[in-house]
Amino acid sequence: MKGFFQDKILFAKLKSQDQAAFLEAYDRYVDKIYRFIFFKVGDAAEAEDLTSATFLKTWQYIGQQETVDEKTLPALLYRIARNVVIDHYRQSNKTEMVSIDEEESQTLVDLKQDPSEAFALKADVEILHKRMKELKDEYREVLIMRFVNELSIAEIAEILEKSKGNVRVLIFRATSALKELMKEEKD
Amino acid sequence: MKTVVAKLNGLNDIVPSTEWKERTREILRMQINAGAQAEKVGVFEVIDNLMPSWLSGLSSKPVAVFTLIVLAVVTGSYASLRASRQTKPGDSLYVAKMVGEKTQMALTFNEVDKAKLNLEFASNRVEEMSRVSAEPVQQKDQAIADLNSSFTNQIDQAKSRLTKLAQSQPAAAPVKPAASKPSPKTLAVGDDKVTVTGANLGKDNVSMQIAEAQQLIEKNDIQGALTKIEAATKSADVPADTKATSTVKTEEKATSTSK
Repeated sequence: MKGFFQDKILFAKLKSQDQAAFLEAYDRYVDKIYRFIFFKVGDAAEAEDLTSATFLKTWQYIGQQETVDEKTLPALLYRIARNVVIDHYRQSNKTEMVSIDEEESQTLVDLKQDPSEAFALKADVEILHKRMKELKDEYREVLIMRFVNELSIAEIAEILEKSKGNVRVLIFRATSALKELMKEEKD
Repeated sequence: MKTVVAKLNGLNDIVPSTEWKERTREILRMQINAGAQAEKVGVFEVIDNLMPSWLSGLSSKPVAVFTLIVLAVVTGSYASLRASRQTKPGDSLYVAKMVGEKTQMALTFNEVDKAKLNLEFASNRVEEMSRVSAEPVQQKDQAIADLNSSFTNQIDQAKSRLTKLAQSQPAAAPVKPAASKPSPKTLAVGDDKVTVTGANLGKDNVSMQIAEAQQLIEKNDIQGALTKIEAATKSADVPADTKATSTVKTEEKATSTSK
């Protein structure tokens, strides 16, 4: 509950174009937005560029708009991040596909300090990425938001502009689909 | 299902490098600084952004909104109190009437004025009793009993206040500016003052005596007011039929005396 109010105040300050609040929002959400974008584009360098672009566009968007429709800060950030990724693919004429190769997953796990943890994570990342890229984009997106970045159903519903019921169904189907793929991996 | 979710949860360890984060932070800081002057954001601006947009629109006209709110509260309260004046127990606005009376009493500090208010409220109870008797009201007997109790309470308070006042000013002679000129409603028969109220006696008689007591208080005749209140209490105790007969008899007696 404390975090909720802190977020509300931070968002209110940000809407007033408070620069300090913007940098605080960056510190608080950069990891999550990076992760969200990384799982969408599948490339660490691209994810970094697009994450930086997301935050800059958020600041510009707040400065240009008379009123901000999004009710929460995460909703605003994720929505802008989605648009940034879509624009990126439009410009580069790429199809939105996750393509994790050996080198990329190596880069990811290098971030972990403990070698044993790094090894376990590497295995999980490799398997999950391998299977997740076979999922529909909306399934992948909803799984990242719900289980990796731990957004609430209401927040996901706002970001995706869907009802909470639809989001629940989507999460259930996405989890079931991923479970099936993981079962195939074991077999 | 749980295993898949647990594995997904484990993926939140994936984070960009600290060096990249700091570098990007610095770049963003410079970019936003270049675009705008660093301004200290006021508390009101933040509060404005915390409010829903329809509400924050009003905040740009604070004086007008404040005036409207004050006007609405004052008009609403006055209208409710006016409307509640003619209510009786069981009516929705009766509570407002009671609250209004209590507030009025709480805001009055002069003992004489408090006594006058007690009498006014007692008179209100009498009026309400006659309405409850005349109109169909749920649990009529209980309502009348409650009103009677409230009436007695107000009368007792008035008597107590007036008695204290009479004791504190024993030398004060009653002012009788119109004493030589008899009131059209009262006739002197021997030593007694008899109230002539026509055929409509009972509750009306009590109200009349209370009104006269209030007038006597205004004339600083505390003793006279106490006598009137005593008479009103007795009138309230005597059944209406008896009172009607006795008053009519007194009327006849008064007429013969004047002849």
